[in-house]
Amino acid sequence: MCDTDILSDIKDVRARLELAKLDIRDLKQPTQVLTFDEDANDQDVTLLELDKSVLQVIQNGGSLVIRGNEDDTAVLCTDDSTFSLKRAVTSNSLILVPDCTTNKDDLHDTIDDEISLLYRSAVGWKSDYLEMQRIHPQTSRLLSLLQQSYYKGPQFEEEQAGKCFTLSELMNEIQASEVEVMTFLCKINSCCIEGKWRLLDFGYIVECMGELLQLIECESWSCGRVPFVEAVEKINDSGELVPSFILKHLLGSYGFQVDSDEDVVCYQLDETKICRFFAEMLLRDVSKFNLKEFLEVWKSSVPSGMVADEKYLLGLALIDKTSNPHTVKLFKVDQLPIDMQQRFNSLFTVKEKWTYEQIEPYIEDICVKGQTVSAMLTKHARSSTMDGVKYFSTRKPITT
Amino acid sequence: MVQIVLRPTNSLKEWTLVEYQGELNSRLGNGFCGNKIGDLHFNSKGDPIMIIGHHILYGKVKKLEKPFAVLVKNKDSEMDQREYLIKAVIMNKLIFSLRPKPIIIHVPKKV
Repeated sequence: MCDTDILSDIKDVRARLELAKLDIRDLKQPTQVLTFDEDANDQDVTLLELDKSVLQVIQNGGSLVIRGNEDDTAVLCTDDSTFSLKRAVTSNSLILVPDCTTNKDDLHDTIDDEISLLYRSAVGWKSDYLEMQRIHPQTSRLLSLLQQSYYKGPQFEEEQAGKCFTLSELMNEIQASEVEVMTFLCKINSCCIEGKWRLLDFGYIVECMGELLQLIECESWSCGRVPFVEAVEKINDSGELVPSFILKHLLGSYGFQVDSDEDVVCYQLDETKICRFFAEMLLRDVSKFNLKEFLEVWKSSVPSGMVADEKYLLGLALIDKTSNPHTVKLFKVDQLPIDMQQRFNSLFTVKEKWTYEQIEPYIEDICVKGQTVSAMLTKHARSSTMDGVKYFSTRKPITT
Repeated sequence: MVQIVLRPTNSLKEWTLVEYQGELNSRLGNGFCGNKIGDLHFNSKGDPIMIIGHHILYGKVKKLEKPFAVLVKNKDSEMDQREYLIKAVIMNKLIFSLRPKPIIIHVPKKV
C-alpha cells in the first residue's frame, strides 16, 4: 500500500468522523480499519468455548482429545477430565480478527488532530460454537467391560472365555480421560495381570484372604505388620495356593505397605477395609440379614484387634430400622447409575428417608469438580425434620 | 472409537472477537469477502466506537468469562487420524450491543 492510498484513507476516516460528529480529541490513535479477507468464511474455523482448566492445558502446550462412537455424543478429554460437548447457536455475529488492539494502554492520545491507521483483517465469522461441561466419566461401562472376565485363579485361566482388556484397549472403549480410568481401576481394586486389567472374583478373594488371615492368626502376627515374603512362602509351602502377585495385590487392596526396619517388606491391614470385606462376605448371598444377628456375627468374625463398627457399613449396606426386626442388606455404590438424577431415583426407590450421613457416600462419588453433596441434595431432594433429625427424601410426587 | 486430537500450535496466538447484535449485512449485497467492515476507534475511556457504513456503534471491551479456542482442521494429518490445530485463544471481545445510531448527513442549504 503506497503512501498516497494511506493518506487518502486517512482523509476518508477524518471525513467520516466529522459526519458522525465525534470529537477527535476524545479518541485514541491509531485508528484501526477492519476489512474482511478475500477468503474470509464461516467454515474454516470452529470456536470451542473453554472451561478455565482446559485453557491452562492448552497454554501449557497440552493436547485435547474428542472421543466418541457413532451413536455416542462426543466428549472432550484432557489428561484427567471429561467434558460433554454441545453445539450452541447465537443470533449475534461473531467476527474473527486475529490482530486487533483492544487495550487503550496500547494506544496513544490524538495529538494535533493527527490520525494514524492500522489495517486489520477479519478472517471469518461465526454464529455458532461448541460448549463444554464437566461430566463424570463412563465408569459404569468400564465396570461392565471388566465384569466380562473375572479372575478366579491361575487354574481357571484356560477356560476364561470373556474378553480381557489392556489399558489402551479400555481407553478405546470408554469416553473418559486416562487419569480418570486409572483412578477408577484402582478404586475398584482391579488387578493388572499380564498386561490386562482384571477384577478378582469375590469367591476367589474370600479363599485367598481366608488363607492369609488364618496364617496371620497361626503365626500370631500383628495385623499392623505382615511380612510379605514370609507370608507368600508359608501360604504356598505345600503347593501354590495363592500366587505371589495376588497376595501382593490383596495386601495393597486391603492394607498398605509400611516402613519396616531390617529391609523386610511389610503390610498393615486397614481396619475399615477388612471390616467392610467381612460385611460384604456375610451379606453377599442373602437378600436381608437380621441386623442384631448380623452385628454379632460380624463383630466376632473380624481379626482380633479389629473392631467392626457400624459406621464401616456406610456406602456398603443399608440398615432398615422401620421393619421389625431391624434388617441389613448389601447395597454397593458401584452398581448404581452415574447420572445424578437417576442415582437419586434409585436411592429413593430403595429407601424412602435418608440422613445426610447415610446418603453422602452414595452421592459423592459422582460429584464432579464444583459440585458438592449438599448442593446436589438441595437440587434433587426434599428435606424434612423428625424428632430433631434431618432426613432427605424424593422431590417427586408419590404415586399411589 | 473415533478419537480426534486437538493440538495447540507451537506459537499460540491471541485473537479478538468482534460481536455485533444481529446480523452484519453487506451493503452491496455481495457477501463479506474482501469488503471493508468499518473504522474502529477507541475513546479516552477505552470503549470501542465503530463507524460502519452510515452508522455509529458504541461498544465495550469485555473479558470473556469462558475464553474460546480457535480450531482449524489440520490438512497435513494422516488419513486415519483426524486432527485439529488450536491456532489461537480468544480472551477478550469487542461487543456492540447497543442499537446502531444512524449518521445523518446534513446537506447544507444554499445560501
